[in-house]
Amino acid sequence: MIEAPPGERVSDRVMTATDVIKTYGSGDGAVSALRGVSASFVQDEFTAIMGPSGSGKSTFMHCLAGLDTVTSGSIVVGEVDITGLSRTRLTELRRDRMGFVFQSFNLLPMLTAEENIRLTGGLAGRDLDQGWFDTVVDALGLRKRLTHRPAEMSGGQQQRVAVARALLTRPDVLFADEPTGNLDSRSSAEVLGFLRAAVDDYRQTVVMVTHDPVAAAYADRVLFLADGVIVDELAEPTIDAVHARMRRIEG
Amino acid sequence: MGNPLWLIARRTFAEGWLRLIATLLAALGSIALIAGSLQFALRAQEAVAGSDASEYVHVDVLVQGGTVDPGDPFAPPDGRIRLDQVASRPGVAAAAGDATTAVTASRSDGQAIMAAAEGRTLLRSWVSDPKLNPYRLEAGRAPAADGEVAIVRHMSLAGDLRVGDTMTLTLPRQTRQVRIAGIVTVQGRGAVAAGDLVLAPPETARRAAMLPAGSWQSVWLKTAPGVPADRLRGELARDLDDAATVRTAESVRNAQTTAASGEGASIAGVVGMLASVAIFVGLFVVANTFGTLVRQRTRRLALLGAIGATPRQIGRLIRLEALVLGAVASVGGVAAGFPLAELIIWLFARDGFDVSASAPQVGWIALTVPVVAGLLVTQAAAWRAAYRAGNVSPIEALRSTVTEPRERRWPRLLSASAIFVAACFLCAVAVTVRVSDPPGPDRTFAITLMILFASMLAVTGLAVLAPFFVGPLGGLVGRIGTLVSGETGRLAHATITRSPRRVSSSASSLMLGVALVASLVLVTMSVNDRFREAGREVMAAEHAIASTARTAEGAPAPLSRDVAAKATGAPGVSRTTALTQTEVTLVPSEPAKAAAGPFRFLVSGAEQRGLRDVLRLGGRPPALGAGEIALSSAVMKERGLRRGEDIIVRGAQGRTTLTVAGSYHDPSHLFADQALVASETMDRLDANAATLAVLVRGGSPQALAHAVAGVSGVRVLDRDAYVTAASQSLTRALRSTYGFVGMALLLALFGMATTVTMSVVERTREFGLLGAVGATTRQIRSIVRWEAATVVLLGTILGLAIGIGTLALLHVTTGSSFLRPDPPWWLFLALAAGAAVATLATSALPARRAAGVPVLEAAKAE
Repeated sequence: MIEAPPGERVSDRVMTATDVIKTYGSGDGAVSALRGVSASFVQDEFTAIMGPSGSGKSTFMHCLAGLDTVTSGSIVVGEVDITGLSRTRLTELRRDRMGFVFQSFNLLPMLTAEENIRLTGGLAGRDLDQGWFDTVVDALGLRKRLTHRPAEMSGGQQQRVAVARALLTRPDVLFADEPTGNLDSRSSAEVLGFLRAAVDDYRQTVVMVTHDPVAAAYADRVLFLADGVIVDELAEPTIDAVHARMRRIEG
Repeated sequence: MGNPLWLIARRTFAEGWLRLIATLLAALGSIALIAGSLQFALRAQEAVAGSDASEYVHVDVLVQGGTVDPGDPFAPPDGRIRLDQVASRPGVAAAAGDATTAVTASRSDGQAIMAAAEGRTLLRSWVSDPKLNPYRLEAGRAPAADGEVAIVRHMSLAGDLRVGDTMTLTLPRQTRQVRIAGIVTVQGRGAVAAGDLVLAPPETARRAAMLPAGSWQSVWLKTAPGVPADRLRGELARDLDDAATVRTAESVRNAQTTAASGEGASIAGVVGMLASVAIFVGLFVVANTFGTLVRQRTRRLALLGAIGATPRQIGRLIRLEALVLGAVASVGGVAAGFPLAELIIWLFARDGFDVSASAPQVGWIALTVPVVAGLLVTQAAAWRAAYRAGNVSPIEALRSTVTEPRERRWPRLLSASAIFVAACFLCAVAVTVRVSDPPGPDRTFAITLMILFASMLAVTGLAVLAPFFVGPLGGLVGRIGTLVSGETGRLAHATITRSPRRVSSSASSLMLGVALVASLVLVTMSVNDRFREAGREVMAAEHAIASTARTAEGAPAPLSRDVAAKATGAPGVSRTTALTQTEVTLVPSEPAKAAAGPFRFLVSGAEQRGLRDVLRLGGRPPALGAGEIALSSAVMKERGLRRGEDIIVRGAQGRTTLTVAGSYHDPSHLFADQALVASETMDRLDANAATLAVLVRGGSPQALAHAVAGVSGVRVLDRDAYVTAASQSLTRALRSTYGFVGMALLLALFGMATTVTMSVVERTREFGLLGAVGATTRQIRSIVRWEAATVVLLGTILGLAIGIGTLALLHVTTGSSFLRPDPPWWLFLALAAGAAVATLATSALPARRAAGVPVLEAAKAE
């Protein structure tokens, strides 16, 4: 995909973080996880967030998704500043506009793959778009696995089910938190390929936290965090370029 | 996919039922207790009120000698009526004389035959006239000669007696053997509303009732065709004037039915109180285990929150699960309630309150009420857990281990304070009742109820506060642990103080168990000690001869008075006194006092000469002459009577005027609780007064036993044994709680087992990690044991505080010397040991299993 000029993309902006500060604890024992992070995310873009352990990359993504509260700053999703929303409103916003794929424990063990995929829509009380469901399930190769429980599937299959669940609601943003952290390289490649395809074929926006340069190379751009601030940005990343930047950041 | 919440709730239940089974059984047990108590109450009601069969079914008009007690339709009238006075009147088609005497019937092997619940066994005239005879012979024939009887079917079943068997009847004045000639039913029932009947030829019944020839207690009349019962009643009432009470049989039957249902209601009250304890224990245990279940599933609930379930939806999910659990437990509980009711009935029957004759109740009350109660209890129990679940932050789903998030202190402190304020309010109500109500069983019942509820609230309040106590106690145990087992002790300390809520939820169930047992043991010991102490103080006689049979209240049944004469002749005996008792009603001196309702009291009779050799009553009552009565100071005070005043009492033989000769008190409440008269006076009040016991001074137990060997169904008791036996009727309410408390304790222990097991299982991963870094299985088990020690310490201290506090409150509010908080030192040790055994037993197995989990397996655990 070829990057369009910046001016043209402003209207497609789906999410903006401004001066986000996150502090745990108070007084002398206070720990700053994020120290003034600002970033924008536009439609159809696959962004990877990278950084060393403790850089605040996961915290940043949790704040973006409204899973965690911010100490100050604002996060605007669509037209809404989510930092002031109630738990219920946040949840409704998440299920209407966001999708999630975590590193592990994505699925409820007592539900089948199909029931897990349809869970978010069911919770929102929405009718199923059968055509879209079939498209997603077939694209992810899950047709034969629909009646299986998570315990009967491999790690890669479980992550694909999680991707399917996240895509089924056609979210504004799909968040992925180390989605390949627990997978072997072949399954990783499959899952990352689907995320890439979601951006290219279905015009999804994806934000992914990872520490793996191979995974990051699937993205359109990479944000580098260190000590709670964005220290670098790389467009059109390659594995080698990401490696080089990471080595520089880690010193 | 339908409602996803419903689907998740159903699947969780279907797949996790093994994990839920303990919670399920706890809920089921509590609902079974509710259902069982209700079933028992309904069956008791049916047994007491249910036999609406009346011996007056064919009677039109009843002529009763003298006056009758308007409050007790079963009591015999206090006068006599001659049969020939009414039998030959115009309009009378048939007449029969009736005489009743309360007796104790026993089988030839000495085993007493208990009357159906709250009923009596009456020796009564057989009615031979078919126009009046209500008794239908099921086997054998009518009693024809002296020494032959017919019995009702309930007796034949209860005593396993058949036609031709012999039976012993203990009459007030003698004991005699009779042969069973027939077995009867009345209106198809095995007993009548008054109780069991032994039907003897009329002359036998008349002599037993001490009536002169031709006289009866009452006469049954059948009107001639065309004569309305009311008209005959009116004519007879006019002609007989004051000498007799004439009533239509229908009004007597109605009065009997009303009285019986009233008695059923009072039983339902006691059972209701016990059932409320069952509800509380169920609520407490289910709430506790549900809280643990939610804590255990934090990650799963957080994931739901992360992918789109609102807090309200998550709360609803927990309530749905509680609904499934409640529904299953309710159905099981109602089913289990039937055998449980049988058990309760058996326990009560052993104490003399036998309702086993009633049929199991399957009406809509018996089935619906426990189900509704079960659903409400489980919903109420899940309420807090649901609220907590809704508050689980989605971020928890992303954490690899579940830790207890720090929580603010003030909501916990605030809710605990609110609960304690409510408990104090109930205590204040109890004190108000004490001050404003007249003394008596009703007041004691009301006060006890208030204190009971206050204690339940205090248990809840302490359970809310328990996490605050875990820190300091865990520190103490941790220090001891570090001293004893070094590094494991240090680890245990860290585990305990890091999760105060987990430790305290196990300790709460234990606290409830300890509190239940401690309260009951303390009350029982205090009451029994006081009876023994007071009994020794009052009873100067070394021996008492009492019946082996028991009354419905559990005290020894009356024996026949001729036993006294037999004992007098025994070698070494210096004094024998028959202690008799009868109930009389005080005839109010002014009409104003009559409005308050009749005052009934028990009068004890004893030979006055040498009374102090056998009874030492407080306040030294003077030796009473004929026509004199001594009243207990409580009765004097309550009725506002003075020494030297004349009172009129109505006894079994009509009105008698007595002079109040003095006051005294019987601290044991067992010998002459309310009033005392000489034996001559007793004969005037009630010639057939029941003999409670024969008190004997001097002689040896062997000699006395030999002297009364010819009388079946009596035994010789020493001082303590007689006091214990006689106090049974007063401690019946206490004993009836044993079964309930035992079952409630089982529930509490069950709850503890559940929480302890779950708290160990939820840390499988943690233990696996410990194993990976080199902790041996033994060391891991040791950590669990130190944690268990904290649970035991916390649960026992709080439980004992509740137990002693309850008794102290009862002592203060009732002012009774029978309820003194005076726990012996060994009780603390015994309870602590019991608690330790229970805790170790419930934690040993899961700890063993958790410690044995392979490291890799543990790392994979969700």
